[in-house]
Amino acid sequence: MVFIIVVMIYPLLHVFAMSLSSTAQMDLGNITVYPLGFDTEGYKFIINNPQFWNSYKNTLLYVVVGTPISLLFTSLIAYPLAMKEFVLRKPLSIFLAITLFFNGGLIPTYLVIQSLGLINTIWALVLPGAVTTFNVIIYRTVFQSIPIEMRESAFMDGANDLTILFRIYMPLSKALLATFGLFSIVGIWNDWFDPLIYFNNVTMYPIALYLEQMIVQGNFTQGAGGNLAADAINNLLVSPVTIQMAVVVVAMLPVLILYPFAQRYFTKGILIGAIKS
Amino acid sequence: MNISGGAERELQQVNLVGKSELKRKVDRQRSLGTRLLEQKWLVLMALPGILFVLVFSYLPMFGVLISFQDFNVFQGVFGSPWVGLQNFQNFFGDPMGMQIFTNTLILGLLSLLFGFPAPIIFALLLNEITSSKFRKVVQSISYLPYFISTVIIVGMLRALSEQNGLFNDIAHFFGQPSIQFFADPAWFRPLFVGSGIWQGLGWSAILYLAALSGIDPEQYAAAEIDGANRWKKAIHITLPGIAPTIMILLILSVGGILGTDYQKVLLMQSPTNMGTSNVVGTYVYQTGILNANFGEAAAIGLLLSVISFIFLIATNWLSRKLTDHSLW
Repeated sequence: MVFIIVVMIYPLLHVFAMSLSSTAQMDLGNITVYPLGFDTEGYKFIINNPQFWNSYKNTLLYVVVGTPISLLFTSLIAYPLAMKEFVLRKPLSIFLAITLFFNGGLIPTYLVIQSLGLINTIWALVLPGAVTTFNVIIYRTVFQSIPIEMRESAFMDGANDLTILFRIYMPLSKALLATFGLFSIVGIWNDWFDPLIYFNNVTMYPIALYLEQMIVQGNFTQGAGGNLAADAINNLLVSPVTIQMAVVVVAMLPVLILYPFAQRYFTKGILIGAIKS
Repeated sequence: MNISGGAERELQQVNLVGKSELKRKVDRQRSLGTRLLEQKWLVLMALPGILFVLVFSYLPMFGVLISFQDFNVFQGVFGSPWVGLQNFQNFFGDPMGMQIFTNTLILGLLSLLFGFPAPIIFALLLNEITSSKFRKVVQSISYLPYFISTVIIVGMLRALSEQNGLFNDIAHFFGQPSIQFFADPAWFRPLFVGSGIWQGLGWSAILYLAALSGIDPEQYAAAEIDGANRWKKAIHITLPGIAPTIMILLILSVGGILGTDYQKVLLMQSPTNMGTSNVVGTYVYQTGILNANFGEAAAIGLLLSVISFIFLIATNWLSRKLTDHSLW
């Protein structure tokens, strides 16, 4: 067990250490879990790099727009499905279930997005994943566990279904919304592939893609740094790995910070979903 | 009217039957239109979701047609020439095609073989921990990697695989020369599967732990009395207890193995390890998105989906036969 903890944490510490180490020490390969030759060059580079901040801003934008949309529209369709007397209940359930088994695939989805003129827009990122059958099913299960009397008495007070959803059901489903909100945030935050295929414009890149360009493609110029980075590296002032690791740390930070808070809601939410399903 | 008692009762019965039949007919007539109107709020609320699913899940299904065409973006689905199975033939005619296919299969099977049992074992071990605090800590740490972007994980992997990185340090310890992990085709699969386990272990274990908590503790008490040791308890109580969960997750996993996280494969590919790392998912990306050869890309993607579906059905059927548990 202790071994597992070590294995899980070690890479994270290692990365953090590398981001703060000097080039000389990096070349010698002495670094394990703490920095040697303390050096903030990597971080300095990031702070001075406009493209980095732009990417960060983009990611925040995508998350702030995308997560509420997903929560909202998934709830909107799960609510009617949770009502036994809903006219379209059966056909709609079948309609959704089919999508669990049949999937267009990458190319057709790409072509649909393209034909809708959504290339290079935030919507290509945010809309396709907004309402998924799997999520709808879990939302529905949670909504079904709310006593039907609440709805009935709300009707007597003159409310309609829309008000009931927002004023009663959603407040009662905080664990659900927190859990799926977290999933949505993390999903959008870490997504690099969809932006890769849908964005032609470097200024729209989110941080995950920025990172991908730097780390995997070793591309410090176009997507990542402009010539600043290339110069710095060529002059052996900074090891490319140091910069990469610094970006990694900064990209991970929000998720790592969010993690302990979200955890509380999170384990409850998963158990509810899992057991009820 | 002057009807005898018995006949009157019969008439009444006929009337009753007639009435309920009439009521049913009227009900059906007030069915769709009126009932939709009665529940207009519910219907309106469902509408956006329906639209989303329609546009982003159903519309791409028509992409199936593209697989049989020499698709041209300007001519669209209805204007492009039909070429039947040509796209499929092109793919398999090319010797690389078979290699791509085998790579995909092997990678998927390895991921399943090593990646599926790992969380189960982990959950079982975790369950044995008596200190609830320690258990919570280990669990929380264990699913942290799941939240980290694949890009970051590959980045870490690369850093660890450097000439003077941890992996090579270990290699040197065992007397091996430095290994170029990312350039060597032989190392691609271990790295891929290993990092997959690291990433998904804690997360998948959550479901199994939830299932484990549902096992009646009295069974353990009874077994204890019968003198069962830890091992026996695990085999005869724990495993059967979570068998339904295992089977369902297995069925779902098998349906997905061929898709095997091609995004991560894409990140780990290098010009020199294509021998093992070229899989269908990345090929679809290269041919379709990069080379705009939509027809062929869609075709091979379709083939993969169909095969995955067949795997899914087969596993479900097998599971039903052997263990009585299944998805449907």
